[in-house]
Amino acid sequence: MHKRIAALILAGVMSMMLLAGCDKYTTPQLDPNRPVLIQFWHHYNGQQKTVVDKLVEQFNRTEGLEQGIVVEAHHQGNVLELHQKVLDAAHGKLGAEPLPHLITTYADTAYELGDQGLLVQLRSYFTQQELDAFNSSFLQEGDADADGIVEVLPVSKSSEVLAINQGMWGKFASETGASLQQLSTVEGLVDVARQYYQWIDSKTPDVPNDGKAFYSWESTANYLLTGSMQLGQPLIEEGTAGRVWVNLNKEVMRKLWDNYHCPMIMGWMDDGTATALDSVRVADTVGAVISSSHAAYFPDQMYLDDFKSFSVTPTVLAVPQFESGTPTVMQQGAGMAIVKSDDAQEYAASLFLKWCTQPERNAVYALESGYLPTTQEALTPQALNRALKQQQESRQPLIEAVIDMTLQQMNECQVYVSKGLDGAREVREVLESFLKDTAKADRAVVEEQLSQGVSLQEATQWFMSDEYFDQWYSQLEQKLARATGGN
Amino acid sequence: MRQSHKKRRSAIVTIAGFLMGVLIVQSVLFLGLILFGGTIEQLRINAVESLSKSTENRKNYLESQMVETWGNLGLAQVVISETIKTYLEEHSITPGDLQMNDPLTEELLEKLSPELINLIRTNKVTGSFIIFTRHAMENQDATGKPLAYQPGVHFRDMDPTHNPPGDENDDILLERGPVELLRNLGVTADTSWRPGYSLLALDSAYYNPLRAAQEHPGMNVRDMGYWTPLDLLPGDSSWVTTYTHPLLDENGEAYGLLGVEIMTEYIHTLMPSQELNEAQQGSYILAVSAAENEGNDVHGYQVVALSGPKASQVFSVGDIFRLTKEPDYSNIYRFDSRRVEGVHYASLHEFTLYNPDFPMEGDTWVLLGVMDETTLFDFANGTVRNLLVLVAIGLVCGLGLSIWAGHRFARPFVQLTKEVQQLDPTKAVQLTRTNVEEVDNLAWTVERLSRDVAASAGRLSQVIRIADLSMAVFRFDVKVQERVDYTDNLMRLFGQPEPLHPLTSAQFKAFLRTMDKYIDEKTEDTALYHINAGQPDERWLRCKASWDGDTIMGVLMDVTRTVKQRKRLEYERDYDLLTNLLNRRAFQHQLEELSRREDLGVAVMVMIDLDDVKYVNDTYGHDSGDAYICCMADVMRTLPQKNRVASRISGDEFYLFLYGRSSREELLEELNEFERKVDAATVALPGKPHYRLRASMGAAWYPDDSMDLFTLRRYADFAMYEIKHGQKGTSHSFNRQSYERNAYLRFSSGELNRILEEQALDYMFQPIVRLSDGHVVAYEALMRPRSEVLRSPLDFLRIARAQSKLGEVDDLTWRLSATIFFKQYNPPEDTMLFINSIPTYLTSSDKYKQFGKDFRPYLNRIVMELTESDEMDNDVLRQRQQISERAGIRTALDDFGTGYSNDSALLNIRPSFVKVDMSLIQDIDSDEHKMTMVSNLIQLCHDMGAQVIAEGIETAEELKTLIRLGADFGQGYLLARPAFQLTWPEEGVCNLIEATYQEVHSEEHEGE
Repeated sequence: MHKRIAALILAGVMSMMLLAGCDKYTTPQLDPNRPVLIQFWHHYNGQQKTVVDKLVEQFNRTEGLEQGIVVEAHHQGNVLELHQKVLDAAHGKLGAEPLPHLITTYADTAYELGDQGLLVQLRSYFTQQELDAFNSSFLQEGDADADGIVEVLPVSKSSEVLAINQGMWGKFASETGASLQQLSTVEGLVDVARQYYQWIDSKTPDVPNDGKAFYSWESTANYLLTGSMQLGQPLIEEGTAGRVWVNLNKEVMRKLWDNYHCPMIMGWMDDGTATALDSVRVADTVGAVISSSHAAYFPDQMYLDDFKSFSVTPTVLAVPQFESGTPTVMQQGAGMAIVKSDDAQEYAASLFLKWCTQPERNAVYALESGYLPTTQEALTPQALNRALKQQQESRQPLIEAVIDMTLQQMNECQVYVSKGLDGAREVREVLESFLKDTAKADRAVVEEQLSQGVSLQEATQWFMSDEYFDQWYSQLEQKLARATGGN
Repeated sequence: MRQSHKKRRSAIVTIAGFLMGVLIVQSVLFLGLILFGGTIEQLRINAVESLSKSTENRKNYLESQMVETWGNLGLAQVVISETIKTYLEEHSITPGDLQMNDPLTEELLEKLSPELINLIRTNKVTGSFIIFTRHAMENQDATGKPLAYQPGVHFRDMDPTHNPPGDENDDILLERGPVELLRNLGVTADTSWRPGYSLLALDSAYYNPLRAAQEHPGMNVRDMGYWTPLDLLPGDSSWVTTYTHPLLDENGEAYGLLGVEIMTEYIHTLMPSQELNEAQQGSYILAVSAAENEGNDVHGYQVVALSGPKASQVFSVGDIFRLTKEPDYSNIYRFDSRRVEGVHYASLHEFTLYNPDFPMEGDTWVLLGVMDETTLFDFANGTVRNLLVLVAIGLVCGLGLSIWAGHRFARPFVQLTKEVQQLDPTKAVQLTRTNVEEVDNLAWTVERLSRDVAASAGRLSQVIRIADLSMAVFRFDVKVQERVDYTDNLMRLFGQPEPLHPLTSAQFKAFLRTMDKYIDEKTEDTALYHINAGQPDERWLRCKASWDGDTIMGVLMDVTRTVKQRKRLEYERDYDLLTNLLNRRAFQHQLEELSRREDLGVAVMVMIDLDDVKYVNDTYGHDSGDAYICCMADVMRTLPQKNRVASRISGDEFYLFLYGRSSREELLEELNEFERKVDAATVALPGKPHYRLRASMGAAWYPDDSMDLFTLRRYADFAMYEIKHGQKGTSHSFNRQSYERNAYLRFSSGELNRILEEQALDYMFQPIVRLSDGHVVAYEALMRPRSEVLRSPLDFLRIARAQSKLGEVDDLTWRLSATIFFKQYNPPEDTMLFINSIPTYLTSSDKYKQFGKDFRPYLNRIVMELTESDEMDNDVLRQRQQISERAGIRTALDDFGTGYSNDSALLNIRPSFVKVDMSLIQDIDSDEHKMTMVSNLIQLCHDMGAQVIAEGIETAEELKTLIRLGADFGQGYLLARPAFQLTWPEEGVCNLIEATYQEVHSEEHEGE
């Protein structure tokens, strides 16, 4: 009797073990009656946050309800802030929130997270087949800590475009004879900007130096990184043991400096007080080199003042390239990574990820925020077309233009992808801010001097000097050395 | 009796049944208590109360959020009002001067911006705004379209829970604000950004506070605040709830609004529906009463915010729904079924947002905790379900356990029973202990019992062995394959080796079948085995079996002695001791056997009467007479043995039956040859070396004379008597004419009739003497016809038989002999009378009754002597005896040891006396065979309770031998001859008897 019962139990246990053994991944059992709560931290704001909230809401109502998963999405500032918060949470800093289960990230900024083992390897929850559904180069970028293992699932990809206000450009072009062709090079862009400033300045002959900036450059770091690539000198390279190595070349940097610092202090390029799009919105600029995802939200109205507004027709152009350089575009990818927690939560997060990246959904949501979808299926023209049809009708042409341009550039140019390297985040912060802040401060000085009646030449002379560059360059070297840890 | 009606039940069923019964009763009581004791109803009430409690808590939270956090504009109001006042004073302008596209206005708004952003942070709202406006109706044209923008600024933070580090305002979007503000502030514009507000008259959100200020000057600003449930900024897609205060100048006149907005999306996150139900089956709905109200119990509401997947599937923000009061539970409503599938309950809790004294009518805000019926009462229903399942499992387990318990209880018994069934009853057993006290006691008792049984069984074998009884006993059950019990000498008796293993009943039966070939005789329950036939240790075993149900009990006994003795007796019974020819009885039997056959062919029955026997006896002595008789027998034996029956039926009478011949001529030739041999045969007698054999022979032919062998014999008799009365010593064939002429009958029947008529029968009486003291205990009546012709009683009887007059003769004999004996001779008291009865004929009952009446006092002194007769019929014999014995008449078996009376008659009749025929008594002192035989006979008779009378004692030696052998009584010439008076033995004889008897018994005593 006892023996028989024992045998039964043994058989039951063994068959359960056998069943469990069949599955390569031990899939934790989710219970719809006891849903798992997934904290999802993201860096999206504005329209993109609305898109994310919509996505989460839809998941919670449907798949999540069935499976027993509740996703709570929280905006946590920009990506860098988000990462810092995750690190704080991981290190249990005072006042830090509990670790989230899912975060948005850029592969190149997530090194520390990956390196500290906070991120789950995708293949723990994704089969090879599931991973193969993604564009393989997008997927490869998801190696956050340069160890060859992918932690970040690409959910959307963006590049940069030059978007301009067609109405204003038309007026300017017709009066000055400027052509869009000129905007294909950085040098051309700077030149056109100079012309535009002067053209505006000439409208009010009685007021000197009241021209307007033609454009803004949304991401200075991207400008520097892609620019140095175009000029043949990749700025950031992989050093030893996954550490970043900054390959600083003064000559290249000088060229980059000249085409950024000069237009800014001269007023040809916007100083970036308002965002690139807001500058277009209030007609402070004609266009901007912006992320393709931002281009999708290019203003449809521009306001000369509170009462005078005109509708805007955007034109999407390729990112200007250095004349002599190798055409290179930035490819950025917002991805999502699962933060290590317990099996059930990791598994639940992976289910949410899979649900988000189903080709149809991936395409619709990516397009809505101006991104490229990341699965191979969603990247086909047919899928993109279908997804496009689901967007607001008024926005369709713009989104279509942005996506077309993004795809075209990625096909035609060398693609620059930031690698997840130790120190890359800090280097990027330096690149993003140092040049821009210097130029902006210098422009403020110039403006101050101009308002005091100093001539433009006088006001800008020092800033345009080699010495000033050298001074800045050595500061840059120091800053970068600090960022990379003193080498 | 009653017990036999009761069905047998196993202990397992009884115990299991009892336990199960208890379990069922308990379960029913338990279920009844839970289901009907109000527990379930209470669970339902608890569920409703739990929903209500959660909802109320959540409502309180939201209420405090709205009133104390979001709507807490007091400080901001003061700071902002002060800032505005100072600014206006600085620039010497009035609130009315604040316009769109006005640098001062823009500058003022820019100044106010940090305060507004700060308001977002402190009040944890999604947005804050200031609008400069004075009158509701001023800003629209005749068609109701806004004429122009109203100046103002509106910031939004989509995620108020997150605040960026430092003073950065990355997360702040500008919804409304002048172009210059956007340009200078560095705050990103939302896609729906506009430079100013385009307000409509119907935007009560904005105008209610203004109107309140207008209508109730001097009232606390706080009480002029107004909650607008749903608002939407033009161009925006996000619903917001707003709370607005009027901005008042020093005169108390309103010049603008200060407000906060909370996106309904954000409110949604503050109503976690999981707290109602983990499976997210519950929903929260924040709603305000809608204008329309139908009746008392039906209320219309508009959705402000909602959470929970279920509600989200049905409703969107702004939807209107209706609720009906649920009478059963307090504070519970049901959803209008037109919109919602299934029954959904809502616990409704109202907000208190306004000062009750506030005159301005506000909407009623409510929070609904919604749950569908199934989910709400899931616990109650689940409890019922679980209870039922639990009880069912309990019953199943209980059944299993009951059976198990039953088994466990019964197992020791079953085990014990099995052991007891398998044990060897001949040995003392050791039973396994079960550690159950009662069972072990039982086992102990069984062991003790078995020890006793084994001991007694052993004793039986031992007794058999010690007693040297050639006997074995076995016992087995036919149906059950168990081992067979038998005493240890069984195999030895059968002459078989002892088997290696104990035999099962089937093996034993097979063994018995192998022994079948030795079976000699077999009846229903008895078999006689003849083992080792012809060998020195030849023996016979009698096996007698008895059935008791399925059990066969058998006794095997070595009966070699008895059988050998019986065989000898049989031979002695069937064969004449002197001639070794078939005796009368055996001949009779043979004829019966042959009568049943149909292939007798031609046959002849020859009756041979040996002449001159009496003469030879008297002249030359008995030995010579015997030799003379044997000579005849020898001649008869010269005939081929096949198909020949030769018999000596009495002293000088022989029958010869030859059959199976093909023709009468052949047989006649054979018969003539026989006759010649008889004529030629001589016997040596003292002084006469060649004394010729003389015989008269009568023959009757089969089938010519008769097909019936007994008729044939009578014809042969007749033919012989014809010769005898004519010319002796010749042969003569049966002549039908002669027979039919009735020559013989004519000759003798007249004489028979005369004798019977005249009762011309005399009776002689011969004493029967006790062989212990020579005392006469009885007399035998011997009939003597008074006739010249039929002088021999045998002849008389033969004629009487032929004339069917035996009955009359019998009657006459009884009556006459008794009369003479008892009435004429006056014998001493207790002297018995032995009367020869002819048992073939039943005395008619009338005559018998008459005899009984006449001789009533003497009946117990009368002994009926029976002799087996030709047409012997045991049934008739037995019947006659029974009738007699009822009257007190005892029976004696006459002529025992001759062809007529034998041991089967002995068994059949069970007589009181057995008279041993004189043929066995003659020369008994010198013939060891006779001695053994008579000794056995006496033993046998004594065993059967019969007393033995030896007939024909003629010498003193014979007498002595008989006394020594234990014969009870004697009769014969030595003792006394028959006489027509009562005689006694001479004194010398009596002395001899007494002396011999004393001698024998003293020897015995000495032997002891």
